[in-house]
Amino acid sequence: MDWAWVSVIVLLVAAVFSVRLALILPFCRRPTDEDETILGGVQSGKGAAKRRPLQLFVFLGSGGHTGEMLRLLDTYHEYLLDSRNTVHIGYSDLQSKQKFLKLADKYKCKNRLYEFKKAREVNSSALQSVKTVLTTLITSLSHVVQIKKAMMSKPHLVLLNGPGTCCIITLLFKLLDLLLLFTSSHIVYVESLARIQTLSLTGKILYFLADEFVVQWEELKLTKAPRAKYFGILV
Amino acid sequence: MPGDTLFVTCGATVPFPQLVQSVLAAEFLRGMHALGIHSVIIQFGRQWGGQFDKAVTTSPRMSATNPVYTAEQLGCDEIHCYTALNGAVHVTGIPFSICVEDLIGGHTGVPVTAIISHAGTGSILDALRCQPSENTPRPALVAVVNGAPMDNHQLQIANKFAQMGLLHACEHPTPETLLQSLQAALSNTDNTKGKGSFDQGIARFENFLVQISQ
Repeated sequence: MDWAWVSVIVLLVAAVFSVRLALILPFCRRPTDEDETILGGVQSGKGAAKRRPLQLFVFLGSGGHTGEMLRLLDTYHEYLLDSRNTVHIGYSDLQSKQKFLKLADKYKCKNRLYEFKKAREVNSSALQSVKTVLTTLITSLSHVVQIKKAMMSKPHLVLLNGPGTCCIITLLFKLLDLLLLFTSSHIVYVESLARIQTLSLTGKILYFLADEFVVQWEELKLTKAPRAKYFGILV
Repeated sequence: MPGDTLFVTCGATVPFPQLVQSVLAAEFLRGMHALGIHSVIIQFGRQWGGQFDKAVTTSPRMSATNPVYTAEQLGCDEIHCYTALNGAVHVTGIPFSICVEDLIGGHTGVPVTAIISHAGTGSILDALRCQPSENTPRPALVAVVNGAPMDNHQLQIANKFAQMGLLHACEHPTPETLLQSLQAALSNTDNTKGKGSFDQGIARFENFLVQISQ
């Protein structure tokens, strides 16, 4: 009798989490068209003042990734860097952080900084690698938990464009989404403008995890990423 | 103050010696002079100043001179200035400009009529999006592929924009090919096409972000 009840409960929990897992992964959803987002009648311009402040998380990779992300933030600053927004910035090199602070100063948005350690340093032994990967995972998890807590209010958005650390960050966000049944992290991944014919490694992974996958060349959508959204050159 | 100016940029982090050497060659400078451009500014990248001076002094035709532009105009304190072809051409080297958009848009008083850039996406977009004062076309653009980086993304991106008629692509920089590309870019590309001609998606993407975040 007891065993029957236990197995029913276990099966129920397993069913709930399977459904949940299906719901948070992008390929189980009804595909939406780019044009629907315009027909949705979102207010821009004048309506902007009525909007509630956005909680935004952005990860700055390095070099070219940072360059494209800062261009995105600058181009869409009206929505992304509004002075009432809180911008959570993950970074792993100082130069990216400084470049962002210069931009944040220009638009006076509130910001919080989180340092993500690189997953592996060159020339480290196997044991050291295991240790650094573990500490990276633990600090990343504590950062993501903190950011997720701030993002329980709406609207919120996670904007990523590479490199590898974004995969860990996305996995952690998805893990929290799985456990906290009724939230979504709204993860948008934008593939680099430099990618015309093939996806980057991060892109290949996040194509199956990110909520929205955006490419900047139409032929990339047509040949490699049919579920992706294409709007044109964005950065 | 020299007249029409060519701006050459190598990117901030990855050096591009073949590009700098090709631009410094007498053959290129002579051809450029014949096209009516009498001054060239080379942004050679951080920590490459020593090698730039070395590259210049191996050419017997060049001599050091006082800067023809101010530090404010260039957005840089470290200015390496030379003359070539018996003073007919000014060559100015800087490591990195902090106001490159203003500089190539002509807003700091340097009349930039053409740009030769490494084919990095950031530099290409800077050049295509720069906004000169009204009724002035943006500078003609040549994108040069740097063979040094491990992949061929630079080649793909340069060819893609060339197909769109926005720039002229140059795959292997030599004084000769650079000069041909510069000539082609000045006469063939539609320099009125710039901001707005390839970023119609911007408003739609902003709406998309607003909707996704709700």
